[in-house]
This record gives sequence, structure tokens and C-alpha cells, in this order.
Amino acid sequence: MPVGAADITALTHSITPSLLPFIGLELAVFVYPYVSDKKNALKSVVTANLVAMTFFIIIFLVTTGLFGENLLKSQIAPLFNLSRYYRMPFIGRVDLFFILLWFPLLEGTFRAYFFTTYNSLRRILPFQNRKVFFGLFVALSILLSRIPADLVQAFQLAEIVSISGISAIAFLILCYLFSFINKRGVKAG
Amino acid sequence: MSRKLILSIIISAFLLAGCWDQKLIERTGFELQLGIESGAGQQLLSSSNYPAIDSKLKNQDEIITAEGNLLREIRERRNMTAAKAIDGGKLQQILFSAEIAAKGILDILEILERDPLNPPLSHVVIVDGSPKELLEKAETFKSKPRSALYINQLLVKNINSSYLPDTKLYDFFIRYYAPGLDPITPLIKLEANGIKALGTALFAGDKMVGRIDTQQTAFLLAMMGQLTKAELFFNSINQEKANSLKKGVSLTNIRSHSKIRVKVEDQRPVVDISLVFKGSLVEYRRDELDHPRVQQNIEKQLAKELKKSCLEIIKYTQGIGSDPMGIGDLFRAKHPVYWQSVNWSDAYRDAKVNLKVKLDILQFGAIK
Repeated sequence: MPVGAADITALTHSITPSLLPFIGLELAVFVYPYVSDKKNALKSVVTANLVAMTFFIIIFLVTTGLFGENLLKSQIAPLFNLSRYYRMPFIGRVDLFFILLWFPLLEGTFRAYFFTTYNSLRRILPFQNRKVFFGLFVALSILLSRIPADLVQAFQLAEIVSISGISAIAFLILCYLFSFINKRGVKAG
Repeated sequence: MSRKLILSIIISAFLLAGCWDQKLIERTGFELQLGIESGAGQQLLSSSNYPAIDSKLKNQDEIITAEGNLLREIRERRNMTAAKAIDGGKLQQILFSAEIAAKGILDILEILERDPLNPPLSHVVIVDGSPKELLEKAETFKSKPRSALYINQLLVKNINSSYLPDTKLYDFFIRYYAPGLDPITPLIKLEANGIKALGTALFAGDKMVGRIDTQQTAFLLAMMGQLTKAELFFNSINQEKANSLKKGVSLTNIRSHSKIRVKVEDQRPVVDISLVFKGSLVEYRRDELDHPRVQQNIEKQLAKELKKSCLEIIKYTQGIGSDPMGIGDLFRAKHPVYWQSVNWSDAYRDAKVNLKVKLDILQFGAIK
């Protein structure tokens, strides 16, 4: 408090880190060719992002209200800390349950990226036998998951993935803008 | 199909088991209490307590002490004598000596915030004396439960009675980092036959600068809007019988509602606090308490006593520069221009406080 006390320059600094939670938007482009109801595709993408945005706003309000802006800005994972600060009778550490629930959500995210990558690679590479290719892809994914040896390396890898995700979104936006200049392949209407 | 399913379950059990970084419970000593005080040579002296499950004696706790500059360093030194690997994931209380609290405790607490393995729900408690001595002596109280359980029960009971503030590790951090709001913690002391709840340790920033007793804690919590089911005692009211040993009046089941408004008058902060107490009279004397006139007189007298006590606390906190009610926080939100133009710690000492207290005694017991 008071709201808006920080000037515009300070507020613009928050744009880049705020983009990271919206990574996943680019998946819509990969999935789009397989969507049967193409008329409602845009509506579904916008709805999904609105749900995500609502969730982020709620988390922002709750964490700011609880921690205050000074403590909040010193925290790396406020949502995780929210679960650590929550007092529940009979359950000593709510944060451990939070981590337990986090895995299925993480699996959902991972699966989407996993199959998108698999599908893209299958189209690019000249493999005929899908079963063998899928087996190799699974093996490769497991091997890649073994690269980060500790938490520090896991954070470094996460940063690379985040930057790649933003780059993918930026590339798609550039392609979209380019379509206004180069009309080849652009359907009218 | 079922073969494939069984096979995939077996494979996933190996892949997803997460056998990395395992901790065997029987080889781990779960630290329940951590005492911190000044050691020899400007170092920290830490005492920690964990249940010695495999001890030769039953219900035995092991207390290990070590000195060092950092808590992590101390933990490793403790591990050199401990039978088990010490783990702080179940820490219940962090006990600081009043002497070290006066120098500031934020830097010491930093590791507990930085390392997510440490629980932020541990109570931060100030000990009037040596935490090491308190932990060692608590083990010898035959009629009391184990030390960690005893202190936990003592804290919870007194917090529920509003005799102690409820300050967990994260409460301390939130209050410390909020401008215009200072932390408060429970204050306890070792006595001959037990541990006594003394009241509240008041902080300015991360330094302990004063203390108030249990009754004053209840008044402070009332002004902070956190009073719950308290019991209050008043030493004198009306004309006491001169020859009676019993004096005063006791109220029970007290609840309160507080409203704090802030304004700036002539560049001076002005705070208007409105307090309404509601409760039942539980002990007094036979004095025609069924008459409204008598009831109103008692309410008026006690409201005056309450006002006097609350003003004393406010004056005291202003004098020591501690702002547990978050008056500064209110000024920051409501009058940001003024907040930025003054040094709040100086302005707070100079603040004018107007207090209105109302007491409603809802019940006068089963006799007139």
C-alpha cells in the first residue's frame, strides 16, 4: 500500500518475469492442425488463458496480502511458501502435501510437451516404425531428465526451457506479423 | 492387457520411486527445540533437543550443544557428537535468550527462511535467561511431559487465553518486513518447578526493546483486534472492604472489537482507537449486582481501568519505539505522502493517541 506507489518504470520491469507463467500458449499452434472444431478453437484458447490469468490474480492478491510487498519480493516461490505457512490441524507440514499434489499437475504439463515434441520430431525425421521411434524417444527423454544432477542444475535447465518457450512464442508472433507483409499461403477472410 | 498394466506398474514403481536423497527415520534425530544464546568468544551457543528413540532409558531426549558462527556450522558440529543425523524439519520452538534478542535475531533466523526444509510454523520464543539451561532443566521435571511437548502445551494454552502472542516464524518475518509494524513474541522463564509464561517481548525491527506481562499482553492483543476469550483481573474497584483480603473483580470470556483510525493534524500523527469489550463477571462480592445502576457503575469503573492500562501500554511502546499495533502501517496506507515525509520511528514517539473504551458486562453469574 498504497496501490500504484511504484512508478511506471518499475512496473514495466515486471513484464518479462510475468510472461513466464503464460508459457504453454505456443502448444496451441502445434495442436491446432488436429482440432476438429476449428471455429471454437480461438474461444477455447482464450478461455484457457483467462482461467490461468484468474488463478494468477488470486495468487497475487493472497500472497501480497499475506506477505506484504517487501517480504514477497524476496521470495522465489511465494505459492509454495503459502502452503508452508498454512496451519492445518493434525497435518504438520501442508507444504509436503502441496508437493504431492504438484506432481500430477506437473505430469499434465510434461505430457503435453512430451507428445508435442514427439509428434513434431516424427514429422521431421524419416522414421517409418512408429513403435521403435516412440521407444527411442522415451529412452532419450529419460536420459535427458538425468542431466540435472542437483537443484542448481535443475533451475539452470528450467531457465533454458523458459527462454526457449518465450522464444517460440516470439517466433510465432513474428510469423503472424510477417503474414501481413508476405501474403503467400494466407487464406483470405 | 492386464500383463502390460502390471508390467507398467512395476516399471513405473522403479522409475518414479524417487530413491534419491532418502532419509531413514531410525537413523534420523528429529530436532524439536532449538535454543540460541551467546557463547564464549562472541559466538552463538546452540542447544537442540531431539527424542532419543534408541536410548537405554525410556522417554529420553538428547540435548546437544555446540558453538559456532553460523547455525549450519553448529548443526554440523552437533552431528559430530549426535548418534543420529539431525534434521530440523519438525522443529517446534526456536528459543532465543533475551540477551541475544536485544542484539537482533533476523540474521540468525535467515537460514530458517532460506532453507525450505525448516518449518516456518515453529514458534519464536524469547527466554528470560539461558535457553540451554531451560532445555536441560525441563528434562528433569518429573511431573511434566517431555520438554518439547510441555513448552508447546504451555504456549498453546496461554496463546488461547491471550496471555501470550501467537508468533510463528513466518509471523515474525511478515511483521519485520512490513514497514510500520514490529514483531512481538512470547516471553517465558525457567522457574524452580516449571516454566512460566511471562508475557510478550516487544521488538523494534529485529531487536527486543521491551516486555509486558500477561495481562498487558491481553490488552495489547485487544487493541490489535486479536483478543480471544481472555480472563481479566482488576485489583481495585469502588470502595473495597478495608478488612477483606479479597479485593478486585474478575471478568471471564472477554471478547473485544477494536477500530483504529489515523489522521494527521499539524504535521503530527493522531490515532483514534475505539475499543469495545464484552464479557461476563465471574468473581466479585455480593453487591446487589442485579440492579442496573450497580451494573453500570461497575462497567464504568472497569472501562476506566481498561483505558488507563491500555494507555500505559501505548505510552510504553511509544517510549521504546516498538509499533506492534501497526499504526505506522496504517499511516503508510492512508497518508502515504506524510509517511514518506517523516522518520516514522520519531513520529511514532510523538503521536497523539485518543482512546475510547466501552465495556459491556453481558452476564453477572448465578447470584445477585
